[in-house]
Amino acid sequence: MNRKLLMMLTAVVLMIVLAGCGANDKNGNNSSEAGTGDENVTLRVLSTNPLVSEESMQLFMDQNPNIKVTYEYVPSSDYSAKFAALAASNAIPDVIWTQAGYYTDQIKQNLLLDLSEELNGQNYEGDAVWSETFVPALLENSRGTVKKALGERDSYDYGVPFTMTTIAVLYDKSVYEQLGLEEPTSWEQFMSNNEALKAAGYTPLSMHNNWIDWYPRLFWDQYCRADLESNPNAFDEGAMTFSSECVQQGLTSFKELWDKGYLPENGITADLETMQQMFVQGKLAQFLIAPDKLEYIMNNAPDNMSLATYALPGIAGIPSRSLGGSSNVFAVSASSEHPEEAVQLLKFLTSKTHFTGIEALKYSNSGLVNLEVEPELAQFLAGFTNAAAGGFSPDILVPTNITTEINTAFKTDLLPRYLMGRIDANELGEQLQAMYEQAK
Amino acid sequence: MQSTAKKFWIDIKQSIPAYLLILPTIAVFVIFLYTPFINAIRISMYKYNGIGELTDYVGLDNYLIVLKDPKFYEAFFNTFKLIGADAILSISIGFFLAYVLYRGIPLKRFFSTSLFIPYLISMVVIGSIWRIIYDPTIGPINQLLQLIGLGEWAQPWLSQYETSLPAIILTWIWHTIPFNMLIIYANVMTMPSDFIEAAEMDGATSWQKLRYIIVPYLLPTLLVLLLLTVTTDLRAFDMVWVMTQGGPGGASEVITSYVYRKAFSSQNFGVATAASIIMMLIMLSITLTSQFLNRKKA
Repeated sequence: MNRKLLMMLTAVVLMIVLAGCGANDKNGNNSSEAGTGDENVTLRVLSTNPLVSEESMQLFMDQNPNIKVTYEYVPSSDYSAKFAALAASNAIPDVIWTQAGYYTDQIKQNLLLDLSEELNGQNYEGDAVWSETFVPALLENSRGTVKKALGERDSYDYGVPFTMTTIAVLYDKSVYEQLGLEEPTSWEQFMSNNEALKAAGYTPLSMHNNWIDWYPRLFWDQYCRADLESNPNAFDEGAMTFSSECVQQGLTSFKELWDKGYLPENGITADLETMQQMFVQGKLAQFLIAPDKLEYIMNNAPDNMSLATYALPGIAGIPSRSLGGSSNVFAVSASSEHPEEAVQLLKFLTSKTHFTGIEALKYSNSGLVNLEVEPELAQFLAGFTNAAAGGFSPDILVPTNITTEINTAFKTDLLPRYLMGRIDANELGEQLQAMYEQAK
Repeated sequence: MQSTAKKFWIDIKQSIPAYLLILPTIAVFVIFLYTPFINAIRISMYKYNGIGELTDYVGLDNYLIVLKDPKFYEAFFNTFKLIGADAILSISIGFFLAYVLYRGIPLKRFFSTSLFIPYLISMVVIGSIWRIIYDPTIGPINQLLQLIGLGEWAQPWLSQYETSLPAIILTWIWHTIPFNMLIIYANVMTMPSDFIEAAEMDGATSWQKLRYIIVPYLLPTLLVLLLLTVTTDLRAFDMVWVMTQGGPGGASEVITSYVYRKAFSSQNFGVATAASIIMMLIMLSITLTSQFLNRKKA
């Protein structure tokens, strides 16, 4: 009797355990729920861009009641890990945020849907051709990234740029006034301002672990622009290497900023949030920032701060260009089971409806034609507008971000060691070159 | 012969319910431990970026890449610096605190509870708090140093090559002391009181009681704590990642953050898996050696 009872108990335990092992479909839905005849579609979205939020998804769902969106946000520093884990488990979301190195890797691995046909179709509102709603230079910038990394191909449209990302320097006008400073129009003036700010006890410029490569990339755009414009394949062909003079010059100038104490002491390991807190606490004087990261500062800056922006002057004296451009890309997974709906969401994200319907997007530059900004806001964002007016440095110029591996090594290992004096610019160049050769 | 076989089948039949009862546990082990482990060995022999099928077989090349990588050795030595400091300082301080509590002090219960609190806080929370404490601009350590006129000692603790690992080790030890203290205290309290009473009757001093009675009594406990320290510290990751992500420039890289970076930042899963298997072999050899030594001693 006892044995029978024991057997029955065992059977019950096994049934309970095995019930939890029911097969799930690709979207994580239990198989027993699939195919119930419900025509609603569920899309999964992965974004590191805080401008695309739950609020955006709600607006989209309100307008498209047959589409449900499951939204997931990851900080940009964790994107690589998150995406790799999703890809390894064949669970790439339908719509994903991506960027230069990741973007081209993902195209190479056939993970993204070709959007050429859709871009020639109607936009979200149905009143224009979708591709024609973008600022032309922005779309070209995005296509150029693909071309640069992957060479000639049938299509360069595997994602669409979301916002025209520009970087400019955010500062507190009252501090400038107090110290008798003016917005710099030349590099010399910029450096002199930094010296004055440092002498007044401020950390003159921002830097943090995830954007540690911004300064060298901006400097390379100045020093290497002519060489790389005359021969865009100079690195491929070996005509230029990471030991070339202009590349080394960019690194040396960056080290100079560090050695002079213009960058935060904790900049190598600090994160974006730390810089934001330093700025609102009045410890950091100037913040090299993209508009999508402004919201925290705008919401937390004390009342006595009078914020303004200016475009960073060029270090070599030639017209400065901004980083960014199409650095925020949204794409559709090639394995999406609902590509039509996913493209519909992409159209929404890059639509007037979205940019005018969400409050958080007011600081961003939509990158769309015929979308005007309030005059007062336009004045505050003048730095970003001026930076964009100078054009954009290609996402991949000196190819430190051509693959995820090189990008990671450059930002987390080589550049920090260089700043700390553990390796010199030559060694850094040689190590990058070795990795680049291997990746080729 | 026939009766032996019959007995065997009867034994098997009688054991079926027991086997059925342990089946779920075995299933969990097979699904979540053994299968991934075998799969990890397979991945370690491929060049693999984590996406798609395993196609690019490279044999033991990934192991060679790891063993030739100076960064692996840097991470390895950093891990052992952490273990060494933790084993010496944390167990010693834990022992000292446990001894003080054992001897009895006013508000003993309050102290024994409050000293244990750091161990109850999650590593991620500790890392986040201490990152702020160490911050060169807004952190209280530097502000305090400036307040007491030692401003020149203020440092960017987590952003300097020389100070980032010691800063993490200090935080780590702060977290582990309470555990060591509690285990030692619990054990010393189980010591028969007649040991000490007999020593007192023989006129033993406090130092003699500590040296010749308490320490020998606690020796097996201290060895277990040492083993636990080694195996726990080899897996140190969360606090390191939150505080410095192994930086600056690998200065505070430990084996686990090295593996994580290779896998998820560089998307080099083959090399990362090879490194993690090497790490597992190290842990296994430490555990087996300690067991061997314990048995030999017994």
